[in-house]
Amino acid sequence: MSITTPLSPTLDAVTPNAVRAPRRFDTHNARAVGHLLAQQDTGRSGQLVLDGSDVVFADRDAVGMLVATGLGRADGLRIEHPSLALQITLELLGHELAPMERAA
Amino acid sequence: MSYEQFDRWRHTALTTQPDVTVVIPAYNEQHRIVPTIASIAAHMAASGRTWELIVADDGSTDGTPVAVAALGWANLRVVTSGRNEGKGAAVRRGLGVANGRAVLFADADCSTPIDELDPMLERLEAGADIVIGSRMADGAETAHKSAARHLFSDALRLVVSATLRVGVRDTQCGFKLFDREVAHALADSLTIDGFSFDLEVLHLARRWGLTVAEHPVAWFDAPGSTVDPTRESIRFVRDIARIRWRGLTGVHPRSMPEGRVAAQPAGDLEPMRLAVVTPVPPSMTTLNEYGAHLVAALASKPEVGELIVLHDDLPAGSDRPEREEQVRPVAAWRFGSWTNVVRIARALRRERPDAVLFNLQFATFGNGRVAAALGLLAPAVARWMGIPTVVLLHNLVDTVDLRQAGYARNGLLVRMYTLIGRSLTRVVLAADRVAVTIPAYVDILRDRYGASNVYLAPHGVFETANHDVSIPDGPRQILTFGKFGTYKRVDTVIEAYRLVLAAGFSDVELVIAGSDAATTPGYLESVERANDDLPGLRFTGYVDEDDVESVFRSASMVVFPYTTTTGSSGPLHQAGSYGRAAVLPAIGDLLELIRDEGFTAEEFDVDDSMSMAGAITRLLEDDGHRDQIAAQNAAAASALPLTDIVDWHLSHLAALSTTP
Repeated sequence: MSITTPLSPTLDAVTPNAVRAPRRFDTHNARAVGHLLAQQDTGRSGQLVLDGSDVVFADRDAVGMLVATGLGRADGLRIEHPSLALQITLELLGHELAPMERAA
Repeated sequence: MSYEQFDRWRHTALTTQPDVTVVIPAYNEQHRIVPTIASIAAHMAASGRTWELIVADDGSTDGTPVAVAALGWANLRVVTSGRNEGKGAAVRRGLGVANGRAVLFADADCSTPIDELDPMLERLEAGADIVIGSRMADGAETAHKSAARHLFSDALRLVVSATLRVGVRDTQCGFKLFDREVAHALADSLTIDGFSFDLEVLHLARRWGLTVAEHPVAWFDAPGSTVDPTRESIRFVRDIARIRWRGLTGVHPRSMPEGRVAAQPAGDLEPMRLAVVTPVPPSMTTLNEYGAHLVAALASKPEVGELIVLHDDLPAGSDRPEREEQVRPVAAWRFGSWTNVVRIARALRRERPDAVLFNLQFATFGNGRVAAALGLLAPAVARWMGIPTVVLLHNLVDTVDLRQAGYARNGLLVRMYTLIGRSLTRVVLAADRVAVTIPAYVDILRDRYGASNVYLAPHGVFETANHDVSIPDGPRQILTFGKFGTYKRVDTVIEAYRLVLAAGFSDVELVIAGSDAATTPGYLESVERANDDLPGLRFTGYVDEDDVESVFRSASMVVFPYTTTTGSSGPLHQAGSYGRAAVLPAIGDLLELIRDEGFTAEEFDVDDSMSMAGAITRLLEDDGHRDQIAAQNAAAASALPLTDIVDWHLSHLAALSTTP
């Protein structure tokens, strides 16, 4: 049986240069997302960008990867358009999004 | 907008019947369940549906229920037996207390995305009784399923198709949606505790002629499963045989049990005129405080239009219970009277309630054997009068040590009273339904008495749980609380306290809070006189309801110097409510109660002051250990508020009062 639900991270077409997190963001693809983020051209800001708008489920491994990548650091990782599921998951696991990110 | 909806949902308890209940069974899921809850909460907030979440813990040892309860969400409940009984038992427990019009059970690993719920709800609304997620239906998607798992599930599917007709291709997907009435009927009828409960669900659905729809779902294997495939395969085959046998022998009802009227929207029901037979303060009769909280909880429910409290005559000069808008106290019986059955029957004939709930234990109607026994005829008489009758029975003679409890002094009397007690139990079982507070009691009544009208209704806690386990500055108070003199004796705790002082603990006090048991007047006074030299020993006397919280919150731990039990322990639930560690005797059904309801304690050998002192010392020496016990008890207490337990009674009462 084939799978049609997007499971792999992609470079985002909406947010330029952002890595778009998969809909189900879990242990199976967290490393791939991390790998894409590591290759991202951060430009002058030095900040990595993840588009989280698709995420309907993020497990601890995915969140752990984001934290290790630099979530919350000024020049670390910024999450654009976090989905509600991603917001709540990060909050419940003790990682507050910056107000600007939540507002987005 | 959705975040605000989520935020409002988690902080504001629903006041109407929810559209959906999501039940997540969980065993050692601390690692996986929080992201699953987040995903579900996000989806439900965006859906605009009203919903509640129930985590049905299966005796986790990794702190899952504590972690979930610690979220503190208004519409989240943790139900637990404290024992690892199996996924089927946990799901059954969750389904049984679900309030939603539709009830979804979903695995804790979120292997099926929650957005599959929406099309399944549409099929339920279109007339299906059950909609099951299927990985085998056309259009389903699976990902990351290992070869071993494929082999395992294919083999089981072959076994099922050859041995049990269930009419669906995927029996085991952990994503199933039920109409609420069906969910409750299943909760009452399922018997398989393990993973093969899904088969029993489908077997019963077919037997009852229900419409089962298969809905193709996406399914993602999530690592971290706690299932042992080999063990479960063996159980699976064994359970298929059991299911077939139970179908043949009539253990499984031939048609879906009816009568869970609460399955209808609460707003569609006429409010009940309900009578409650119970002692209430200022009466000093045992269960008086429980009775007061029971009345308050019942009165808060929209299903109850009028509550007639048939209480005992109160001491001369004491304040009468106040009449409130829908609560009408009526003095209807007298503690110790031989004619209570007549008095109660008269009151019921006069009031003609829609149903009556008796809040009883064996000595409710008197200390004298005759008065106590005759009073216990009242539920049977009420039923004979045509009034739907439920008894909440707090103890069983089968589990009481009659000698320790002061009811009999020699072996002959013990045998005689046991025989009489069992006969009275049969009399009580003549009520329409009997609720008991401990699972072991359900087993006893079903196995020894052949009763089929018994249901479990845990004791419940009165107060809003306080998760703050910190203790006040100053001397650490060791508290014991209750009515003393029979099977609750303070001599041992005083001796243990002396040993604690002798061990060098100088910053401690012993607080004995409560009064004499009705049969042992003067007991505490004599103990106080005999120990007036003991530093730090304090007797509070009877603790007024308004002062209970401060008494518990002032303590560092609560000690239970019981030599036997006669049922659930109110003070244990209060200790949990106020975030206090417990020190308990290793008595079988008391420990069972603790585990069943998620509580824990430092244990000591019964009536052994040295052992008790050791247990107290362990908590005095290790604040972290004490706080851990207190936190678990607070979490257990928050999972079982009496207001929720009362819903369970009301669903039974409503079912009885509307059944012709």
